[in-house]
Amino acid sequence: MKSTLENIILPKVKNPIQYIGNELNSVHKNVNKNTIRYAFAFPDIYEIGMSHLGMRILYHLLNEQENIYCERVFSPMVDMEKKLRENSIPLFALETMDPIKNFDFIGFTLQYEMSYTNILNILDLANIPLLSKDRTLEHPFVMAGGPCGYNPEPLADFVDIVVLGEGEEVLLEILEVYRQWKKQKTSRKDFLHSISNIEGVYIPAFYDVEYDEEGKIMGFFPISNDYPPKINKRIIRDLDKSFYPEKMIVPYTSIVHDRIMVEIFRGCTRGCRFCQAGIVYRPVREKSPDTIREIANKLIQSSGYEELSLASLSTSDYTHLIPLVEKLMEDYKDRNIGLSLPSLRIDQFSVKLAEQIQKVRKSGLTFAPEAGTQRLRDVINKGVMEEDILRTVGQAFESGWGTIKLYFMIGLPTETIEDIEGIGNLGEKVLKEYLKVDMEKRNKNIKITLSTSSFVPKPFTPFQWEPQNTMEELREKQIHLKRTIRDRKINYNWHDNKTSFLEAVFSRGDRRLGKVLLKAWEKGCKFDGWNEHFNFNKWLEAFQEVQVDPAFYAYRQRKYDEILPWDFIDIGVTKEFLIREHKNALKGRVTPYCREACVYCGIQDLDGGWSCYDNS
Amino acid sequence: MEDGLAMIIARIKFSKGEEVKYISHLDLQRAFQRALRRAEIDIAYSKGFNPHPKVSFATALSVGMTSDGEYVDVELNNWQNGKELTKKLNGVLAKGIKILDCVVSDERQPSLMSTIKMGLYQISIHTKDKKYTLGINSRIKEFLSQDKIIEERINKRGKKTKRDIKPLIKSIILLNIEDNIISLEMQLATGSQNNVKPEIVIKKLVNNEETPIIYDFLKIHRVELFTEMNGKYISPIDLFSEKPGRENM
Repeated sequence: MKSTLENIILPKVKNPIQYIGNELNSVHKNVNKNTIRYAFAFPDIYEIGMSHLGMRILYHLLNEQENIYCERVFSPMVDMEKKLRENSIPLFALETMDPIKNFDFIGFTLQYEMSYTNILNILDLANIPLLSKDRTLEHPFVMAGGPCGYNPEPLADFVDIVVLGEGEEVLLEILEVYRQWKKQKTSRKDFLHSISNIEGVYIPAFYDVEYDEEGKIMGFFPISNDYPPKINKRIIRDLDKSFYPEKMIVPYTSIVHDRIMVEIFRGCTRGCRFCQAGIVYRPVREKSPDTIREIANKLIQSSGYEELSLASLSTSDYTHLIPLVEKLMEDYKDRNIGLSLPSLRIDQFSVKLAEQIQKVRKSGLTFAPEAGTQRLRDVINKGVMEEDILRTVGQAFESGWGTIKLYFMIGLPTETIEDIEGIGNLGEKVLKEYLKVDMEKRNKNIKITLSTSSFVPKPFTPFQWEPQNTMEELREKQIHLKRTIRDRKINYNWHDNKTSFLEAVFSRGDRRLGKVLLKAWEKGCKFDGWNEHFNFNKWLEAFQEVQVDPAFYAYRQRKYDEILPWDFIDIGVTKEFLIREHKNALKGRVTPYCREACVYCGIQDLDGGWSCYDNS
Repeated sequence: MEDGLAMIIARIKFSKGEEVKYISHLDLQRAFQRALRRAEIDIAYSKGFNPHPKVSFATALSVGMTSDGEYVDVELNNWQNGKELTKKLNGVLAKGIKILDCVVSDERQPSLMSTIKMGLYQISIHTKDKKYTLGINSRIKEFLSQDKIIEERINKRGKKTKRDIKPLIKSIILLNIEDNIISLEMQLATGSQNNVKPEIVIKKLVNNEETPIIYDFLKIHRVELFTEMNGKYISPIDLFSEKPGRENM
């Protein structure tokens, strides 16, 4: 098989290097009967999956352990899939090229709802039964975790184990229990039973759901008293002490984020009401500047990368950002190493920072005001004022930037036509700021891009009860905005609203969606996040054939007392807080961000207690 | 040379093995630059907005081929011993890329790219059946006795063009036949002036209309690249003799 693959198939597919795991710092181990083999699966292609930091961390963490061998697997591109199927070659892991069906675990990371069909496709290509109930002792256990895991219910039929929260500790705890179980290999159920009380572990098969005549959830409960009714998410309490790799794989082929990524903190202090990450990743935990510098140095040394990126949800909010950046700049002064700071807030401080790190090449600045009017920004608690935005871009133009991108959402709760027009107006005001700058001084290549995505209500946000705008409404808003924008220096682009609709269905869906997913996959749906592969009609057919109404999930206003599919998960932030925030949103009332005043989101009562800012 | 000073150039010979044969030329260049950084070799950078390391490769190898004769010139800021450089780089390179030789000189040199004239290749044709190995010797003779061998190409503008590659083929020798595998050696014009890809020549040879050789796959290995001096083919590294920098003497 390996020979067919290497000599006959690989020369004929696009970018074959993505299927060969011989990159620098990839891990190659000897396999023996005690080795627990773990396939870390990213349900998209290599260049996307390899850009994901979480995978990089867990891959090296697992491989640090004796007797655990973690390898990688990605969705093969369409041409490769065809060849694999034609030649009956089961999907393999990159490092050893061994079929993953013989592994102990396949762990999927859930980054995006539109990758769910790819999960099914990977299982199928690997010759692993799609449905959890059909797997036997010969098959691996299928695990899932990651941001979409905060509502794992649409995947309940396919996944054996869901890991909630940060994986560094819980993964090792599960594998330790597995090591014991593997000696006897009694039954699959036995193993699942024995890990079901590890904090952060959810076994969908051990829970049952009842629905009322309208289709709403009437009851969600464990099938026996052995299993916890509520599942707590896991967090790493001290990031300075937790594992971070000193070596990272250096891909040969270029990937989306082709640079060293060093995490600077987890969580977010901001509390934007549409943002799931801002809530589920609480509390904020920072790495110390010394740890960050040490890691950065080791990673640069071991990779030879020419660029370093500081990763977090909101870089500007890192307490010691200025001294950190100054020190890093000093460290790399003569080494031609670039520093990139994603997720900067809209303020003058950000422009100064950007100026400092982009001394020579002003590549462009991106900001996310998210909404076009102050009223709506208050509704979503995006604590940024129009004056801030204009002053910030004004300063950027003064400093020589010409390319500015602004990100917005349309379809936000309470949105009116004024808010839509507000996006265009803001674009024009930004342009005016440019025109104010001295002709001689300003960048000749002015380009303002306004980009809108369609709002998708997410679990564990204050908007989790809100309906999504219909596809028609979103379309009308997009067209209206397009008409509002007259100046040729302002570009407008928008996301496809059909994908947003499906995202809304799956992000707040329940386990009845499993049959839709299966049907859609059978019809050939895969790579749904890719324009060229997405086929909306097939999805509509799938919903119809299994008689599930997608509007029930996307367009329905929920009441506060409705049992939501993800209510069994305890993320630390309380439902009371989310309700309070939802009410504040509807009144347009702003909630201060965590550092200004604690609003008691619930995280303070985290197991063992938690205090967010005792050091500062 | 820009500022009138002599450059210090390390000419490096390396191999590209099975593990990395699917890396494109661009990916290889990037991998090499990162290896130079890991080895902490003080290389020269271009000036300007987007400084890039001064590294230049000899003729690109097609994706899928292996080689024991790849060359790269690296401009250094300070003179270093070739043996040391070899050791440093081999300590940080990923599986499949290995430094075979390195000489450092501060004498003015023509660019590596322009000096390459010829390439020596070994090819094994894994035929579908042993019967296809029969008569290969006479087929080679016949092939080489043609007046012209026409290659059809599509140019950058998307138009079909034709050219005669016969003068670019210096030799084709049958090395051996084992089971269903035919092993050949070819000398082909390689470089920036005249160039023909080995896979093109092989395809011309085997895809003879009446009796094509059906094969599963080809393995192509570049044995060496040559430059020309006084009518002789010599290795690009032999053009280069190691000279310590003045400040080091």
